[in-house]
Amino acid sequence: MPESTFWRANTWDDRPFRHSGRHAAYYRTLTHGRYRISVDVPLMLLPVALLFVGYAAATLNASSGTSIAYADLRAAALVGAAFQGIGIAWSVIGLTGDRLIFPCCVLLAAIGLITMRRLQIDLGGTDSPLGNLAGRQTAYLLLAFAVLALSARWFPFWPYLRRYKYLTVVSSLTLLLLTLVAGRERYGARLWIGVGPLEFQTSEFIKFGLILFLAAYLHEKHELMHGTWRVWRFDLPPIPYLIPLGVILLASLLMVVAMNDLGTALLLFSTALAMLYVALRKVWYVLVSLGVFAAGSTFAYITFDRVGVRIQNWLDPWRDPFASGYQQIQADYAISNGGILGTGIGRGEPWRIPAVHTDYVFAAIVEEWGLLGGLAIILLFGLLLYRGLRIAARADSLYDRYLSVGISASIAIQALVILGGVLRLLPLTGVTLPFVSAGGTSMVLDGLLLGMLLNISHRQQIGTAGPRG
Amino acid sequence: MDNRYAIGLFLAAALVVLTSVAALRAKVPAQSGAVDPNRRALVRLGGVLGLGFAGLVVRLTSITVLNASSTADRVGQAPDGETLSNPRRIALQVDARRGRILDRNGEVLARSDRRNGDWERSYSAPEAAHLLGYFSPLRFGTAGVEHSRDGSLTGAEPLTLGEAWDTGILARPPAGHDVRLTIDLELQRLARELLADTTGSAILLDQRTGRVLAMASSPAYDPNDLVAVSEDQIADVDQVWNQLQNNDDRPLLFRATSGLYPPGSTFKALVAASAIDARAVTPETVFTDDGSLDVNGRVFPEYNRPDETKTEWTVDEGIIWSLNVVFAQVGMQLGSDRLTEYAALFGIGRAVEFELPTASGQLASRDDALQDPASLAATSFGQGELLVTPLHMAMVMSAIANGGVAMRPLLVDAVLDDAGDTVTSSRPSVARNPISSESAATALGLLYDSVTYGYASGAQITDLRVAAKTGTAESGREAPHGWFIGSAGVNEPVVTVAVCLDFGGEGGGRALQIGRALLDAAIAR
Repeated sequence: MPESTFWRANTWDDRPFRHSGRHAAYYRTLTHGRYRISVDVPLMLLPVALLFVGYAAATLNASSGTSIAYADLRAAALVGAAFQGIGIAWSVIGLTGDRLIFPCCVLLAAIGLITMRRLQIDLGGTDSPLGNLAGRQTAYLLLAFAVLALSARWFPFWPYLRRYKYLTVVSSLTLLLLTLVAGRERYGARLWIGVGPLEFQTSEFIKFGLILFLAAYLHEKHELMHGTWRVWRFDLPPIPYLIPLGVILLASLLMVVAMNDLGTALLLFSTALAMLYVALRKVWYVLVSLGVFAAGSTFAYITFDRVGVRIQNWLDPWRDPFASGYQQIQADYAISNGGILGTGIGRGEPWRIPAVHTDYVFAAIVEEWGLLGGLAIILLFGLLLYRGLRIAARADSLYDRYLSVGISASIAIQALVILGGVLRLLPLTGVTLPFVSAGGTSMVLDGLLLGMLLNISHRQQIGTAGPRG
Repeated sequence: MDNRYAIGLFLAAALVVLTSVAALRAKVPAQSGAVDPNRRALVRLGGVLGLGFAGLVVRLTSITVLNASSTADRVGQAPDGETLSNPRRIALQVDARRGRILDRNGEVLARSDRRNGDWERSYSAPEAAHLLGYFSPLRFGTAGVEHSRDGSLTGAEPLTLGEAWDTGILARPPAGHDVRLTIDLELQRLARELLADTTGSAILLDQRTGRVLAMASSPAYDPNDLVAVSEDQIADVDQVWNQLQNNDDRPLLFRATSGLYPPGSTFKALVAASAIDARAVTPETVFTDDGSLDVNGRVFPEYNRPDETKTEWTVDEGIIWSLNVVFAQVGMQLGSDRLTEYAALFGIGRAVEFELPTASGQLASRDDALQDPASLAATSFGQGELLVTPLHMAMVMSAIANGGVAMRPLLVDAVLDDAGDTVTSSRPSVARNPISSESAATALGLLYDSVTYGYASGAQITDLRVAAKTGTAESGREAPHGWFIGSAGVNEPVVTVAVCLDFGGEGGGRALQIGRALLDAAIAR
């Protein structure tokens, strides 16, 4: 292997050198006597610097504050050190694979953290439950990135998740059922289940379970799904093998709809559709599924008032400006206040949007970071999607391919659903903006999913075979 | 289509191209043949989701940049009548030290003072009510100059680069700029006094620059009664507002710019000038007027002839004695096409470009209405379906008296910063040039004759040359609308006046008195 410089060796994708199998890192360390600092470490200097500047700006611009709190600098330093630590640790242990996904997540997380810190100043009174918005976000983020960092290199659960695919998905469905019966209610929806002081939003687990189930099932039945079902003299689609898929998907959808979590329903459906399309490559499956979905949505629109309200707010929030349309109108005002460069961190008035820290974080970001900040977020998610699909295209096994499609599509679709909702491209359905908006469960599980994606990428690069089922 | 959309589309296209190229370039490693090559499905999936992202980009660009102000300014009403508007605008208005409004000599017309921690707006010249408008951020928003120059008054615009830097870095609340109007407070007071117990409006313009010297409408309101910057004032101002809304005389309506009336005989000035400019007639052209005119079975009677036995009248005499039958024939001589064309050139049927909202009015209700000779005849002496604002007629008069050129009416002279230095100032510009200067001079001669010999002779002022036309417009009620338009100066006219009194009787009466007094006072200043 040629002597490499800091810059040259670390291209975006560290093309594989396959000579040493799973001991590549060990080999390199031995031969050169030094570690290779991969490109994500210098890349992450940007989000870390952004964190310091953002925290400083948020406190300086607050109407009450005139100086930067030491605690803020400490928090920024802690998070920044954690980001850089992960990058350096990966370099040390010789993690190969995609070098762009993690910096993208870190930049998104930094923007989200700064926004939470900034919103905390306006939203968090002394007794307010939002008094420690940024602190909680930091804790979730550190946990999520720890999970991501670990699963990128070390994920021993592959065989089990794959072999016991029904168990995986059924247990997440059971968790949902449990929430439906005994969950804690917040914001008018019963989505949380509590274990002592800990609370989980269980609808996030079903995303995880469903992606893993679909990847395993589509891989296992790959040959059969591409065949036909012969009944007497007719060649029909492989209906017997489609039925379990349909049942599981339908059960998940019905469950989340029953929980009034329409955003998750949309997300699950679209992700499943993306995976099915890549696996089966049949457009008419997609069309039939879309038809069924449209029929279901129409039924829901007619039957449930709350669906009608969402549609009306999407088409014209001004129909009822003081009640159902109020939040969307305030978001429109906030976004239009942003202009190209935004008002500056801490200088806008995003706190005028009710519950801005959950569904409408993007509106807060656009008001203060402007069109450019909003474009940055959209581009980061676009980049995540691109890198994910790239990993899928290079996957060694079909299981890896389907899984990486599921993971990257689910993150991109989640971003589309919530950003489209805030910008009134779609009816607003509440899902979190991955790594940006508040929400611990989803952040940790998204971290796990991306860790698995990096794991797949890592295994491609060092050339080990995929997990055995 | 606004070219800024192109930027949005370009950004979107760039993103789509980027996504598709990126997806296409994703290569399957050559290593194993075990994986089936369903790469195209991945590319298509990437393309579909990429389209979604492109949609986000377009929508985001649209809200933040392309349609930002229409989104931010949108105001809505709940079924119970409560209004919702952008809280940022209200906060800016309430918090900022709002600039003053001054008259041309620097007299303060409106100012803001601290009262119990709030900025309170007060108006020392309620005579200029409709021009100043009102400032009522917690209740009715803004109107008049308070509305049209809100950006300058709050200091949000125009900011110099240095100011923007200071307020941005130091996070200072923006300081409002002063707005200096073109009006002269003395003349404005006089106009308001003259109109005091009537319903109507008066406009006084410096025709050489278009600067408005006075513009009053009656009945009016006192903007001090509508100021609401703190919650405890809301009940009081609501009561005043309801009274104003329910008043049948509509005091909130600014008649000078938004009141629509038939112009009556004052329109003959426009018809005469147009017919002269089109060479359809000369002042000496003779028409027959024997007491009535039958056009396609519709009979127009003549009430204005001073001598019942005379049947041959020149166009000049038609203006002097305001002869409807003569002008019906002048109009028909000119023809409907040319009359329509000239009316458009003079700006009839179009909103006059002005600082405040203006009504557009109409020459006729339909484009082809003047094809009917009877309608053409009636329109030619200012009736028919004609509707104009007093500002329209002031523009017509100033075009004739100013060598065929009507200047754009200006209300704001300059925007001044704290130190009194000019931030921006308005420059006179030509609004319309409907007729040649020779035709304007000839037409002006007719209007001089109208004052020297005719029904407008009451408008004569010692040592001044006055050109004027009176008008009496059928209002549909017993009392007609009284009109007076005129121009005066020492050697040549420099100021223009237009007066219109709702149901104010003959134009030669009260309207003429007011117009004459305003011209006299304006020249004296």
